[in-house]
Amino acid sequence: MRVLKNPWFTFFVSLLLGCTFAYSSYHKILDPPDFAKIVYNYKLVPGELINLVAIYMPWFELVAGLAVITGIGRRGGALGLGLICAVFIVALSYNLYRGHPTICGCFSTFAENKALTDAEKFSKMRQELFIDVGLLLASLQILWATCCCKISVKPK
Amino acid sequence: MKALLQLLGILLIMAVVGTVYNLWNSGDTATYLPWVSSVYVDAREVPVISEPRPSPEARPSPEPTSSPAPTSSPEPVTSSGSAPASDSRFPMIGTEETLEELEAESLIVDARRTKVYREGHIPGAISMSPWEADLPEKIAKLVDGGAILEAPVVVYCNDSKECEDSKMVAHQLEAAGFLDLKIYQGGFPSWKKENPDLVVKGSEPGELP
Repeated sequence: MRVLKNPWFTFFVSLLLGCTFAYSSYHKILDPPDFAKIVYNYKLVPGELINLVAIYMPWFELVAGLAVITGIGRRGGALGLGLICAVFIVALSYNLYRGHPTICGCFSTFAENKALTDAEKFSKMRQELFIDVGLLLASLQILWATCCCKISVKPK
Repeated sequence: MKALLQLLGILLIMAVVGTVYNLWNSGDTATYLPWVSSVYVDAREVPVISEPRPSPEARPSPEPTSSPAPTSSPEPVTSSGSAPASDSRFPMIGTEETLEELEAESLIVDARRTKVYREGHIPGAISMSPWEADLPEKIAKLVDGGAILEAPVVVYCNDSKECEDSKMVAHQLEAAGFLDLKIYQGGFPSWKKENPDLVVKGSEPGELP
């Protein structure tokens, strides 16, 4: 358990989590309509909210990712990214449960995934579900490790 | 408590940066702020009309115009060989029927993204993506330009299965008054496969060779 509070370990996890989300926000920021299609494809978000999610979520991922990497607002960033992971886990799990093939859009565009068969989409959804669980655990680790002790950007 | 305050700060930065970026970034690949425009049409939310659509003959004729709008017969095209969609009230047609419509100078609408349209499209097709902010503007321009509302309109996209983008655009065109809407089920992949010579590149609709 001590290793989970190790500053070096927390720094490494922060770097991993922050970079992952900063990277995943890149293609969404460049092409919001493509991300809007991805959000629509989940068939879970009301039509009125799709534009809102497509426009602001990538920026939230980028800002929170940078906060986690730099350590400026690390706990807030980890909390936000953890919430995003939880939302994606619920959404992907529900679509797997009801048999709705979904393009996660986590690290790739809608167009790149459109040619996949339903079976391939389900397989990819499971993989992305595992990744999201891992990222959720990472954000929980950061929250737990920074709960009682202050973690500096440059560990001693 | 500290984490919540930090999260609030992140949300604030996100709102400012996201808004500024989307106001600054204009063009066909840009999206739009939700309170500025709401182009998006959810096919599930569009009310399904149970009664049959009125035939073109039952409607009053539009004002004669000098526009090069479609002038082909409004009679429904026989859809031999094309499977009708169970979840769509727009008739689905195949490649052959689409080619006939093209030769009859029917209006062809490309529902794919503009950047994909530029890479290649059906000759004469006009670009109208349901995911881009200028869709209402394009439809208004089409109607104001004297397009004959009773003439057949074929909508296609990039999907050979669901083709939801085509349905979204068809719903918008129907709302604008177009009566004879059809969806090319195969979409551009089928067209390119069966008619590789009949593909135009660039942002202009182009013409049949």
